[in-house]
Amino acid sequence: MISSLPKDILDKILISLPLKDAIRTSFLSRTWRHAWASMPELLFIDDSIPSTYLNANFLLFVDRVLLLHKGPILKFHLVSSCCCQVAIDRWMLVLSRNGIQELVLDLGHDEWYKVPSTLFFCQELINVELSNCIFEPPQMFKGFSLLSTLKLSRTTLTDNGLENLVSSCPLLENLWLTDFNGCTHLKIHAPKLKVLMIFGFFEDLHLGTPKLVVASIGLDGKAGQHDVAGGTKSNLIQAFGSIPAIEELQIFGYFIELAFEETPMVPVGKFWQLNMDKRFPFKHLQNVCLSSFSDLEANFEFVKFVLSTAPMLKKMTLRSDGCPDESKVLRKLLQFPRASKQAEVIYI
Amino acid sequence: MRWRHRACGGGGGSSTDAGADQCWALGMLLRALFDSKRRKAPMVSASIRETVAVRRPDSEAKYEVPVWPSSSPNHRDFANWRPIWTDPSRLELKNSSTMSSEESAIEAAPETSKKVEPPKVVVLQSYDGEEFEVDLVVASQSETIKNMIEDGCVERSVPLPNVEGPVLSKVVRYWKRRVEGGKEEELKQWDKEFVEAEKQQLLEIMVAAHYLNSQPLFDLCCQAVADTISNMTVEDVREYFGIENDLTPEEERRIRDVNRWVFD
Repeated sequence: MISSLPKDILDKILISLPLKDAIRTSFLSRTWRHAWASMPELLFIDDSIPSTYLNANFLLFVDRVLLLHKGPILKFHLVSSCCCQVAIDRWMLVLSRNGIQELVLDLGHDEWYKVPSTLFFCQELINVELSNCIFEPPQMFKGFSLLSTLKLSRTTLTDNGLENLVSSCPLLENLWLTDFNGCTHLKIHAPKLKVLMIFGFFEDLHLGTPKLVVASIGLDGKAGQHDVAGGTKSNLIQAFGSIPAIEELQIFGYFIELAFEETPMVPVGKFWQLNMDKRFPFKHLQNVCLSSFSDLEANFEFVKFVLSTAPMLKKMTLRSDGCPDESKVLRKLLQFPRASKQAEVIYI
Repeated sequence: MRWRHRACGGGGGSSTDAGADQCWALGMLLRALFDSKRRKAPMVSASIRETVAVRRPDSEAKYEVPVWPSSSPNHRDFANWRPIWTDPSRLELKNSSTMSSEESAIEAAPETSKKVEPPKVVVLQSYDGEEFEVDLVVASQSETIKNMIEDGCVERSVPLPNVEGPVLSKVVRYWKRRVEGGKEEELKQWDKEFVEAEKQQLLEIMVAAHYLNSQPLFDLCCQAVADTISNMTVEDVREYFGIENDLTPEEERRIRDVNRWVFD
C-alpha cells in the first residue's frame, strides 16, 4: 500500500477531515505526528469540534489549535456564534503573522465586533468574507494589494471608508455588500471589478467599473424613505453607462422607480433615448432579471430600452410584484421591439 | 457632497491587460517560491487557482453569480432574506477548474496551436505497458499532460511511468464522464457512485490524480478518503494507509498528553 504520502496529499486529506479527526491522526506514526500542525487551512465550523467544546470552551479550542499550529495559515474559516471581541483580536494577530490569504468569519447575528486593525495590514489577503462587523480602516491603511474578493454582510462602514477601500484594492474583482449601514452614497471605482452585488438601503450609486460582468443591485426600503435630491437620476444613467461589458444584470426592489420618483420636465418615455443614445451600454448583455416588477411606466420604459438596445440578449425575467392586471402587462411587453432575435421575455 | 465625475464611459478594454495578468501570476509564483520566510508555495490551494483562472481575459471561468430569493410572497419584505453565501455549508469556494466540456475544448484549442500541430488523439502508456487511446480534450483534464502537449513533447503517446494500468483506466473513465458534461446534480451523483465503486483503489487513484494534476478528481478522492477514515479507529486507519506504527510507547504517551484537550 502507500507507505509515505507527499505533503500536498497529506495536507489535502487533513483539510478534508473534521478538525477533531485531523488532530487524532497525530497518533498514527512519526510522519503523521506533526502533520496536522502544518495544515495550511483551518476550518472551525461548529459541528467539527469535539462535542465537549461548545460555547465558552470553543474559544479555548481555537486558542489551543492556533498555539500548537506551526507554519503558514492560508485559509481560516470560522463559523460560530460564541466568540467575543477580545478573542477575535487575538486570533487576527496570529493570522496576520502567518500569511493569511483567505479569511471567512461568520459569527452569527447577535454580536457585532470591530474588525481589528491588524487585519488591515495583512498584505497577502486575497479573499475576505466578514459579517456583523464594524469596518473602520486605520489612517495608515494603504489598501490590500492582492485582494480579489470582498464580501461584507451586515457591516457598518462610512461612505469615505468604502470608497477608499475599493479604490485602494487594485485587483478587486468580486465585491458583495449586503445589509450595510452607515453609507448611503456608494462610490465604487474599481478598474478590474467583475462581479458586484449590492443589497441594502442607499440613496445614490456611482460606478466606475468598466469591466463589470455581473451586477446584482437591490434597493431596500420603501418609497418616500429616500431623499432624492435630483442628483440621483443623472447618476443612474452614469451607472448604467459605465458598465459596457455587462452580461448579467439583476435588479431587485425598486431601484429603477427611485430614479423617476421626482420626475422633472423630461417625460419618462424620452428619458433613456435622450441620455443614452450616444453610448451603447448593453452590447454584451445576455441575462436580465428584474424582481418586484410593478406596472409603473418607469419599469416599462426601462424594459423597452433594454430590449431595443441589447443585441445579445438571451433572457429577460420579470418577477411581478403581485400586480392585478397581468394580461395588460403582457400585452404591453409583447409590443416592444427587440434588438436580439433570441431574446426570451419571461413574466412570472 | 462633491461628486467626482470621471470619464468612465466606454471602458475601452485594452487587451494588453492579458500580458500584465500573466506577469502578475508569474510574479506571484516566483514570490511564493523564493519567499525568504520559506513559506510553502501556495500552488495547490484552489483559491489561488481560481484567482489565476479569473484573471485570464480569454478564460471562460464561471463567476459566482449572486442568487436572489425567488419565492418569497412579498418581494419587498427583506427581513428574512440572507445571502446564500452565509450558509456555512456553502462556504467552500466555487472550484472554477470544473469547467464544462465546451469550455475546456475552447480553452484547449487556442493554446495548443503553437509550434507543433497537436495530435487529436493521444495514447497514454501506463507503467506496466497498458495503452489507452483518448481524445485530446479528455487527456487535457490532466494539467501535466496538457503542459506536455503544449510544450510540443508529445507526438502521439504519453508515457506515464508513475501510474499503473488498472488505475489509469479508472482515471480515464472519470475524465471521459467529465468531458461529457451535464447538470451539476447529475455529475455529483455520478461522482458519488464512482467513489463507491472504486473504494478499493481510492488511494492509488488519488495519488495518480495528484501526479497527473487533475484537480477535480484529486479533490474528490481526498474528500472520499477523509470520509472513509473519519470514523475509523487509529489501528484501522493505519491498516488503511499501510502505515507502520513506529511510535514508542513513550512517544504515544507524550502525544496523548499534549493532545488530551481534544478528547476531554
